[in-house]
Amino acid sequence: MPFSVPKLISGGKNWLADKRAFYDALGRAEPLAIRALAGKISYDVKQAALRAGLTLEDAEELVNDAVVITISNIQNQSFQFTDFSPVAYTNGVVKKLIANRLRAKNPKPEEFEDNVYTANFDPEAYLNNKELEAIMGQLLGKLEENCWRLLRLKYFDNLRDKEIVEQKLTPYSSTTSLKSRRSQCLNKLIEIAKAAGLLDDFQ
Amino acid sequence: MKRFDIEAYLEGSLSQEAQAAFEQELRQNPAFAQQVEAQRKAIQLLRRQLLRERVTTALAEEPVRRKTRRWWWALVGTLLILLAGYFFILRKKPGNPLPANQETVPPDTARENEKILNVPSQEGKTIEDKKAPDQPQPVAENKPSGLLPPAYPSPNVRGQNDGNEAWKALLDKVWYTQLPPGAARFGTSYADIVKALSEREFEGAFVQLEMLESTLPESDTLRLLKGFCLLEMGEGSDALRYFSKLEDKQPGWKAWLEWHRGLALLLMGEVRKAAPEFRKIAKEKNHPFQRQSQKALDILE
Repeated sequence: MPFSVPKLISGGKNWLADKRAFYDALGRAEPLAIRALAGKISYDVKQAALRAGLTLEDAEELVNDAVVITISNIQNQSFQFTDFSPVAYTNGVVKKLIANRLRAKNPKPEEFEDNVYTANFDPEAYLNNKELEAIMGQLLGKLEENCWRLLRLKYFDNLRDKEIVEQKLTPYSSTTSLKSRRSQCLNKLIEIAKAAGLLDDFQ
Repeated sequence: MKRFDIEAYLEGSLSQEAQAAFEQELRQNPAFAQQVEAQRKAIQLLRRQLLRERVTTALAEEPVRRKTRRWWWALVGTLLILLAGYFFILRKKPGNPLPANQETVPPDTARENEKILNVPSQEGKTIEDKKAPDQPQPVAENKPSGLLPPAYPSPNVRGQNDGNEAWKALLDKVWYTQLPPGAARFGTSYADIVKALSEREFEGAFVQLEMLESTLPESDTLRLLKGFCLLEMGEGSDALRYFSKLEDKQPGWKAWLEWHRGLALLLMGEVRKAAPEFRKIAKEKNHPFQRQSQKALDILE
């Protein structure tokens, strides 16, 4: 490749040209990877949704859900890298989601037949968790901003404590104080989630 | 009581010994096991919620385009049909401005397409330019250039025009991008990509181009299309790298490249570099982007 595209490159590889690199970029929830995955599946999802009697709004929701599930399953390693493209996996997710929506009906999203990986997830559990996550989203507003930031840096941005301190991303100048404050924040979050009954139902 | 590091346990970063001790405590102490489980679930919920936010934000970046795409697509389709008819008539006329060798070039391979693209044609002209000069011009919002506003807004660019509404508004006024010259004749290898580009699915098109790149030899067409995708994805500097030196090899693309290079510079906020490009184009009366460049200059100045 004659030119480099720095914003699209991770670890020296242009992930769009490489299934493994694409998989890894999705695992990091990189926005460009998210958009690329959605771009690849959205046409087929729309077609399949319309054939199944669903609306275009449903199709958009299906795309969002399928991308979330794919990334989530990469992160928790229930979707491990094989030679399958993440697109094939996501198509499998969509197929299951559509089947779940129609329940008794038997959808035949032919558009996916040649490019589907059987995704290992439970749509019912996913939809149940989705509702709980929405409530969690509202409850997060009860945390103070500093807490919210500490939790995000650790559990979403996956930054190491040393990096957080060195880059001065928080007011804490040592990993010990950072960890201690984060632990308090997490306990507060657990308390809020417990009070709302989120943890009992979350699978 | 011995303290256990739940965070390290959930991350799987405990030593073997510490892990064994932790698991023994889990078996012996149900309250502790519950505490660990609560922490695991809370973190899971938090992660999933943040991921959902990230996905929603990433996919919602171009709401205007999504809403307007359907009717614009119908309009573009109609115009393409009209243009096809126009070119058909041109080719039948004596004194045809297109060289005769185009008649014999089969349109189905990438390399052959590049030969076609060497030929200066009217593909580089905008919809407005393709109107016959003696036709009445449409009402165009009192713009001195007589141009209609661009069909699509400029892309959002993080750290450049993102958060700067005035700059975004300026870009929107001059964002007269169009498919690269001769795209309709790029051949079967590029058919899906051109379709994606017509539907303004630039990320999807870029992915397909990357895949194609691994199977085809290096090609100017690929580079041109990748540059175009990147430009429409808001990656001005990367687009510029793909565009550079292309016109030396493909003189037929010169006019298109000049204008889109100017847009890439504007996208990067490089007004001082963009303005001379536009000035140069504006001076050429027959340049297909002459009026667009004049309009850009008027706005910039």
